[in-house]
Amino acid sequence: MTNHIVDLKNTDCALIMGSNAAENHPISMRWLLKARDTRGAKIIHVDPRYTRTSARADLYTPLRSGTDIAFLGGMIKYIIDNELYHRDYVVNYTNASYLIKDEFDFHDGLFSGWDKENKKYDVSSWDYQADANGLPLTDPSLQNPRCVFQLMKKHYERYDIDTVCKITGTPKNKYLEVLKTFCATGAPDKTGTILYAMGITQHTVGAQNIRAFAIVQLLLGNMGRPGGGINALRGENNVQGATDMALLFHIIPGYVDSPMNTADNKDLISFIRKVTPGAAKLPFTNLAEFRELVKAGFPNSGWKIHTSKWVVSMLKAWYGKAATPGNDFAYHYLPKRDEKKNYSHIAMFEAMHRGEIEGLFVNGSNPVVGGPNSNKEQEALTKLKWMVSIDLWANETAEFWTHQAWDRPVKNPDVPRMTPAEIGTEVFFLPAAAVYEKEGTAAQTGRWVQYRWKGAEPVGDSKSDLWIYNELVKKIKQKYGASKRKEDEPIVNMTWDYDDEHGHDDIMKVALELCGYNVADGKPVEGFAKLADDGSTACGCWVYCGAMTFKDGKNIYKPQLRKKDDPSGLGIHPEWGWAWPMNRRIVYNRCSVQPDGVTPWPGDAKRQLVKWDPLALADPKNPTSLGSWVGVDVPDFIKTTGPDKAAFTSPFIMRPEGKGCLFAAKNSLKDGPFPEHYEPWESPTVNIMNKQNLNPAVKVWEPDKQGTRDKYPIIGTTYRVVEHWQTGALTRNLPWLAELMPDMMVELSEELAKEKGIKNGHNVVISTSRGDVKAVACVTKRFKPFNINGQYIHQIGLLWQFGFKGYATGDPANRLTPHIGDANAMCPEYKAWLCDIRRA
Amino acid sequence: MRVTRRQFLKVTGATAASLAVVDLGFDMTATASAIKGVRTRNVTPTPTVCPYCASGCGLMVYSERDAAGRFVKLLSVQGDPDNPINQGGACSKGAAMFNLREIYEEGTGKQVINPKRVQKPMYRAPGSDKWEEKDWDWMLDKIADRIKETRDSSFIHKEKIADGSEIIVNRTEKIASLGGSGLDNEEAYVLSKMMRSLGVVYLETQARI
Ligand code: SF4
Repeated sequence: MTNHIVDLKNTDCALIMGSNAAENHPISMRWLLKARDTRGAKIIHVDPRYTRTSARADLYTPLRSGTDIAFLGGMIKYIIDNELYHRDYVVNYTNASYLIKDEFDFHDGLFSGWDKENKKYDVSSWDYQADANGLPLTDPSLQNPRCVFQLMKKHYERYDIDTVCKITGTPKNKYLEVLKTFCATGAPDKTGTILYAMGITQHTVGAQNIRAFAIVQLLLGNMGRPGGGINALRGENNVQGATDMALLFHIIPGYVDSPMNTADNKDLISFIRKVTPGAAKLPFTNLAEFRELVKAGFPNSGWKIHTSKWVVSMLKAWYGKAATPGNDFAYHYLPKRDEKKNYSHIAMFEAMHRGEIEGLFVNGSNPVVGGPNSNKEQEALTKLKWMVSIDLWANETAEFWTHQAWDRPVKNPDVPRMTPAEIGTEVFFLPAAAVYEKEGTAAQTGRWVQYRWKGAEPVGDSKSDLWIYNELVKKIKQKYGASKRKEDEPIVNMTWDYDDEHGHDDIMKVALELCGYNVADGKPVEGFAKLADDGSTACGCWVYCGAMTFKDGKNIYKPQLRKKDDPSGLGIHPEWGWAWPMNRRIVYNRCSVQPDGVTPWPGDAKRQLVKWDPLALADPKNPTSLGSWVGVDVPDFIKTTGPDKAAFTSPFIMRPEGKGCLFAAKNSLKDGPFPEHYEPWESPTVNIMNKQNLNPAVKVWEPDKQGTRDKYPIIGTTYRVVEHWQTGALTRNLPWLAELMPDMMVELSEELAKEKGIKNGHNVVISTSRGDVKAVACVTKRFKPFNINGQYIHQIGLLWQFGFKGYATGDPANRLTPHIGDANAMCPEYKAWLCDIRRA
Repeated sequence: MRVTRRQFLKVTGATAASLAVVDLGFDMTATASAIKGVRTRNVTPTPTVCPYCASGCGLMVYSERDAAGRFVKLLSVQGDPDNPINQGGACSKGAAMFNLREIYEEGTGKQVINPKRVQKPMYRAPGSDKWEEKDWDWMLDKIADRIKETRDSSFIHKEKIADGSEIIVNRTEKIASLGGSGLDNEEAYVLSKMMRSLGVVYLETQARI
């Protein structure tokens, strides 16, 4: 979330798309209802199915799964055509005025630079025109035909209301009502929020769906302001934190690209050059020279100009004394992935299925239920030599080798069936303690990091995950002993000192390393601006730097703060826990004040978060330097950036251009600088917006498994219910919840039920080219057939939270879903595929 | 306070069926006053945060402690009234957190550890159709062996790259790691550090899917 849960109370209008917030994030709904009660906010829900969220909304409209860009592209056009955009905001805070290279173009669903052979884009034309100093050329009047605003206008000209509704199946009058209601937040005294969840991300155009949100919110001037923002309702309690810690192949902690096996990654200096925006052509051959350049500042860099400090501090935290200026701070210890390979979830299981992976760690995860194409993923597990599962329960993945695991409702020769005797995988199950049987922090969806204290002892011999990893690494280190082999150095020299004086793991020791300490005295680094790239600071993840502070002779871990005061009345609660970065509750908050830095947006003084105070002391130790950003939230801005600097009106400090990107320049995305509508991989219709059916930059893993409309005429999607969580391991094993929602079900419209002779409560079988599942039919008015470009098309929805273990059991819906993912994030397309349904 | 299965279903089931679920109608203040009744001695409230959706609702774990402060038994888990996110509320999942550890046995109503919780490390040999209980030391030792065998036999230390030069790549593509979004930050951090130092590049969490 750019904002946070409590901030929802400040909104004038909420657009909920691809989320059933009332069911899956009930608390968020409470704050929206408060906004409605106290400020008359409107709630809009857009979803293929009428849900509990729709029931609480002021306005509901359906759309066919996988057509969000058409829906939002039409909104962009509506905003521009009716001049509803927040002009001052757009001109000053976005790249609307930037001129784009003449070579940039778009034809027949393809952007310029398409490389047909390699099925990818050469992005060099997706760039700004620059002056002699490399600074982008602009036209603040927004009239130049090559400026982003005009190009965007041209791009979305095709997204007229009729075409959009033919694609999405949305009733025209409802669509218009949504446009009118949400786009009213373009008024300077209004803000609107967008809430989304997996209904937006789990598509072959997932990242571009969110880009479309970004364009809408930037045009309406809704970013960086209370009640605004783009707000992901994330599904797992600490999925934010796991991402921050980079449990993802493509990054290292703190959102820095992970190194690859290429010349520009070969040593620390090459790597710094590559990952620091604006550094590519600068003259430096060592860190000392680079430091001087950073001090002087260089164009097109933004806050990431400091990347070297984050990387070196991380290396120092990981490899301690072995990380020295003389050896690139042990940069060579880091694994370099193969630039030609993808290592994401789907790719991992494809490789496993080919027998390329020997050992797998499953850390509280359950791909046999939750993975896409789970029949295939389950089969992939049989090809492992060994697997370690760490969990509270022996879930479906831990027991993938049992007889029960291979039960299928239908004999299907295309679906594997195995017996335990045939499965050679050695399985180690390690019982983990539950959340309140241990202590530690979690970052919730609004980036608030909160401490969880230990309220009970772990059951039996179960242990906290920290204990498990700590003891395991101690064992591994023992096995490698004092090995002198070069390849063993990363293990032998890895710092691993988390025991207290009694030999027990000490969470505060981990926390201090994670948040950063000064190497000389071991005291916490008080914020990432103080990190250095000379080896004097160590910090595991720079975005958490500042969460540990030294006060009154001891370390204070700020996530433990529990002061609930809210001086601003905006729900900021600055001393409740801690939010990254630097306890900022609303990011990009520079946008909550006019370009002059002082004046609130007309009529919106109450929601101004920060301002430039020319008389404030920037540094209490230096009374001669006046002028600083101050406010009720921690300014998301370099404090001393005054009106004399060009960056004064550049609120998006993590971007090289400092502006919100209507046009995503260069390699920001793999599939285009503007979102464009493409059909899902399995679609019941053809793309009428352009000549490409599928997003061209997507990797097709299993071309032979693409279901077609003649065999599978119905759109399938998946979702959750309030009683169950994710794969159900943490809820179907709880008797109270299992009883509340005991059965695997599929929801279908009355019209489809009639066609198929299915009645409420019937057992039915749903099939795709990948498998079959059994479910109880729930015939409802909540689904309605769509009119898609003149065709009558049905959509059904399945719970994906069932499996063969626990108190409540049922078939995993993911036995149906495809192995195909988004072009950028590789998020699987769980939400739109083709299937058929019949009585069992 | 004993919340029976029936009582739980009555409260949360009713809310699920009505609009109240979105108001978090399982109003914990009612049960909080009931809790006061059992606060005769040594009842310790401990703040935690819900492990389900990422809203981050605060919850209070009430446990009975002995005179030395040692944990005796779980009493209940309730919404944390101080937490600004949920102000004491919880949805049906948060409200069922007691069950994560303990349940009331069907029939007898006795409070027991949730029998689905695994209490001992377990091992499944290749081709076997059953688990065997093992101790921690045996398990961790074997796992460390497997990691070492696989890593050492598959490790790529140096690699020739496109321009003909050689670079150190220190990776293994034969070990993969999945999950971790249910871990605490400190745990996720040490997992990330451990895996990368082993050379693991197939490193993924639920954020991807
Ligand atoms: S109590 Fe419910 S709404 Fe709150 S964090 Fe837990 S699952 Fe989410």
